Amino acid sequence: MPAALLVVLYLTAAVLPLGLAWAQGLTPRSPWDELATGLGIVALAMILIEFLQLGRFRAITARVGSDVVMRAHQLLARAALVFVVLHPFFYVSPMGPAPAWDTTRQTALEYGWPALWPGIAAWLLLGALVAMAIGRDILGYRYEVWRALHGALAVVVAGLGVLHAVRAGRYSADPILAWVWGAMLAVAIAALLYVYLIAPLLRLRHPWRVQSVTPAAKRIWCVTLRPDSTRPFPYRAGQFAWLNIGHSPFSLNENPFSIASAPAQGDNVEFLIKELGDSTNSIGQVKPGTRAWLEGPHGHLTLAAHDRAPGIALIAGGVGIAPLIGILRQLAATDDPRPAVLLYGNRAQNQIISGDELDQIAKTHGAQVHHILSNPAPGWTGATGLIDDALLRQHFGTPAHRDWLYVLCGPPAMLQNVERALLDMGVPMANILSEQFTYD
Amino acid sequence: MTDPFKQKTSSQRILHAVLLVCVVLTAAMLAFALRGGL
Repeated sequence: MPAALLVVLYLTAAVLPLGLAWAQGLTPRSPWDELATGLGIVALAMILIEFLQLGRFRAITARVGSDVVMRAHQLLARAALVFVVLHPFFYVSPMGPAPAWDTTRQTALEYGWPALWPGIAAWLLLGALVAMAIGRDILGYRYEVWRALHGALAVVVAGLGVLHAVRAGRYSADPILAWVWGAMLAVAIAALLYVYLIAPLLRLRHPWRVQSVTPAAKRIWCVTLRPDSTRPFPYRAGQFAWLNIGHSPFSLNENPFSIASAPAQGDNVEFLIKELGDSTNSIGQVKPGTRAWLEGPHGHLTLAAHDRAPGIALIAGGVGIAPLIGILRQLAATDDPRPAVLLYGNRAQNQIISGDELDQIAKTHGAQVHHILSNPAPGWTGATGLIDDALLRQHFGTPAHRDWLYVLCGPPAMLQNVERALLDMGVPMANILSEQFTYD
Repeated sequence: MTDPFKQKTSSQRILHAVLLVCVVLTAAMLAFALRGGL
């Protein structure tokens, strides 16, 4: 079970420095002093592991999903912040020079400024880092500016934390633990360098060009890329990629978008991009021929490993249709004989993407396509309201439907309601794949 | 009252996994702190 294995790996890495401290066999100080030290050691390990939870490493994201990795990154950072905040307040031993006989600093805390200042700075900056992450939308920074600040500040916090540990720490002064801290910091920085330097360098060999940009629905654009190299893009229908159009491959000006095309349709890759008030607002003005770069593919929203599912239910809200249309296209292009049902929710009819193509797939491939509008114009004869419990039971209410695969993509509130309803209907969690297109 | 045997949604599963991690780490820190006795 990959998720459980990742939890075990995380715990192993997070307690490793504490275990090494314990193994030194030093005479313990008071429980309060030892707890304060334990909090600092565990928190520093958690901060360093955060660098591996970037949602950019396919070995992890293909198993549990990037949205899950990023959510864990956010929640564990908050837990680490709590540990860091508490860390200095539990010390009860006096600060000052230790007597000559006390070579292991059992009776006094390190008090030198060179040892303390990195800790104080990291303590303050970590609070700023987490606040800047939680308040990202309120702060209003452009996404690429925010990412650069977040990454740079995280490196500073991690570096200062390790410096403080090896200078002030009773246990981290030990050469083995000091070496482990150095190695963990090196791995953390290497992870960032890989994502922002090495991977873009490798991408230089695989450029793309914008083939076309066409309106797909109200404020939603269909962007098609064609490869400008001979290397195929090894994606599965339903996955997503980080898309960079018109910038250097090293630019932070890239965003994750679901791929709406299917690999069985050819080498071109298609995205459905909604204007969201940021850089996506100008997507309609991108000219064909513009250079583009793709990083990925990522995501676990695919039919891979679900060959035995007797039917496929696709449930989409708004622009969340993008990966599901890719799956539907793949099913049609490969003549997959399994029944497929698409429930596609929107507010209004002019938000429906690729309506004609969906009708065509319904006719030629036999898929069922049902549109549900929450705010339809007069004259709409289709289903109205939200994709709720009653609608799901109407389409997937028989015992045989419990074995189907359910693929969900849409706004978080919709996903939570649909997931809850499916679970209440007896569908096992293993048969539900979901991906949120906003993280928080 | 929440049924403890009810299947959890993916959001609940992430939250439970993070809580489990925090509980294990806290237990490890307490064990470290108390290894010399109270």
